[in-house]
Amino acid sequence: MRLDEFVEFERNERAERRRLAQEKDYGVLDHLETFQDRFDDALSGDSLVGSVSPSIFVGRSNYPNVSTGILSPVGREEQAERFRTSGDWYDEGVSIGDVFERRSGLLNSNRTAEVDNVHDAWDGWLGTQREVAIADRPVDVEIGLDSKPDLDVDIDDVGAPVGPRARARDASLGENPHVPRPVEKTLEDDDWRAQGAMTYLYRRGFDVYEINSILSAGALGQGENRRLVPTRWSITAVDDTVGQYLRGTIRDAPSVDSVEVHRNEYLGNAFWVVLAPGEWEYELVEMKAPGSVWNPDPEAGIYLAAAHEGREGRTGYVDETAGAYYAARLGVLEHLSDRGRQAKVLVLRHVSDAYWGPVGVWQVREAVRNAFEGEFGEAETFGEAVRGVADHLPVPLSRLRRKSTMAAGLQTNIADFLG
Amino acid sequence: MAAADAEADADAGGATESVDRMTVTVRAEVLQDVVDQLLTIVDEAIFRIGYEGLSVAAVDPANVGMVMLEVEPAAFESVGDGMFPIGLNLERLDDYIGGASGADPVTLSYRPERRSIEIEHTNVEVEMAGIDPDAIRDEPDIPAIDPSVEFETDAGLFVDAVENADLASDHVRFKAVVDDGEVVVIGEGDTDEIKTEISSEDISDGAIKRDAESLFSLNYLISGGMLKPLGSGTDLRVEYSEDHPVKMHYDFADGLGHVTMMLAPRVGTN
Repeated sequence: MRLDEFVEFERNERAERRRLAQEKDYGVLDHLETFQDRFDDALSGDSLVGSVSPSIFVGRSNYPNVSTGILSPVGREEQAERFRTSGDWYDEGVSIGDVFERRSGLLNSNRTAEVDNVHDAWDGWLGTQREVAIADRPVDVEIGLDSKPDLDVDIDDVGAPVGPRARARDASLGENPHVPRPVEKTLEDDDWRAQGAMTYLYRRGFDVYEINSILSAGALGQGENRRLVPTRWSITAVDDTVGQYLRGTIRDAPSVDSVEVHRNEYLGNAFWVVLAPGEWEYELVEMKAPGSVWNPDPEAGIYLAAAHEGREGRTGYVDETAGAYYAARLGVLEHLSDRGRQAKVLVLRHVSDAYWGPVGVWQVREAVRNAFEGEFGEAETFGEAVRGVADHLPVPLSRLRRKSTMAAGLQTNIADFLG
Repeated sequence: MAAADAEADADAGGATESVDRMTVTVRAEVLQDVVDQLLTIVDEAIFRIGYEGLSVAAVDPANVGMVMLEVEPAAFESVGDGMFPIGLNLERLDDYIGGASGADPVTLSYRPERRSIEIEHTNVEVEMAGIDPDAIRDEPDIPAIDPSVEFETDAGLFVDAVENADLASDHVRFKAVVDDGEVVVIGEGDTDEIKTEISSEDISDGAIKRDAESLFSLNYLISGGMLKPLGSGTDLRVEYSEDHPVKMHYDFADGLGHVTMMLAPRVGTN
């Protein structure tokens, strides 16, 4: 499809999606109140909660003495699977309100632990937490609490929101959890470097959501190096590690043949993914509208952020686009690796004011992964693609060129200039 | 030219290259300069050393930046009578010669039967394993370019101009207009823009034959990039054309060592 036709086609699709979309949902406070009711019902004695736990959370404040929590959908145990962040949320089409409802319904029972105490902890709090993290389905748990839940929701730009917190005394398993064989293998082999173990699990069909939970619980890596990894860091670490593996798979692959423009939109975030012939190069440019979550001042202009890598990857830390950089890169690399092609890739993310609550970078990952489904636009040159897309961006092309390394110019190589 | 010669040697199946043990001696500072410049783009390189002096050419894995180095035989204390090729890991070589400085003589002895070199300096003796030259990335072909802009200026001034661009941007634009007679080094960021002029007074020799603008990634140039070894007091010759690679030349080792660097541009999307 020609790029201009594609843009028109996309506009119609978008209008339809908007019509179907739910109204913005600001009902987080209502969710927290219903949580309180369910919690009171679930309490046996004055401090013991029996529930199931689909996932864990490790905080990053006060590192290396971190808050380490077991999450449980108190009173909604039969739906526990739905509370676990995964690509299924995209397939299900959850709204921002749905995410907040789910996450605010998860009790984070937590204790403080030193991150490097995890290696030999096979039972007790850390052992129970690890079992939850490595199991492939929600696990029955019984948790002794030290305090009443603190009804609040914490938000983050990388991890999904985290709901009410309560200090815990202890926890025990109500069943012997089911742990997939490859996960057992990585857990038992404490001579295996974490990066290799992550890549192994990915190749065995585990998605990054499962891997980051396992990494976070300190269940991967060489024995003495095993430690709890704050959830936010583990999400980015897994996206980066798996991305590096995938980048390696296309290092010597032929290039895509033409300039392709893919697009997707989800939860108030629009993604344009431009693939152009040439050696791997990647950039994420984010345009955050005033009134959106991370640029809340309605009077502020569009906030621009960008990060870029060439064929050898980055040498420095990505400070402008944080976890979204690696999440979007993973989605792109999965697509290219599947096709056995490499490309120069520019991802443009427009965060509109419809993105009123941060749900975590899973939405970036899934929107980019799914951008490659269906139709795409074709352009003669990368420049034509960028010009064509720029008409639909909230910043003028001139400003995009000044911010974006790739929009300013694509990296050539010396061989391009040999007679 | 160094790389072209080296390639001819390689093509000839090493006919001019010695298979016997042979030894050269060079001042530590000269060898250190060679290693420092190479380390800005590669981890390993193939050295050709002997009666013709030393030559080495290397290209970064993305084939974007290139460094060619030549040291004339007169810069050596002694050169032996053959030429030997050896692939070396530069970090390790850097460590091994770290204890020598200034005019300290460093002796390199090639041991073809073990594909290694013996390094001797001060009170240190090292046997360092070589890397099979076939396992190292091919030396690059060098594009012939008739530059639109050529100028010679103090390297410190040029490095400052490029570092200024880094204050506002990830890339740097070189811009020259025939009528202006100066070269402007520009960093264009999202909100800010910085320009540093290299005026005709700062240009000791050169010509702007045609207007030319070209854009380059800063991470190949500074922050450990190709310009890292350069400072004030060195004359740097820069040649570039619109949307073509830039070449930069300078001499070291009292004029007996010659470096050419080349960097492929980012080409605009207009």
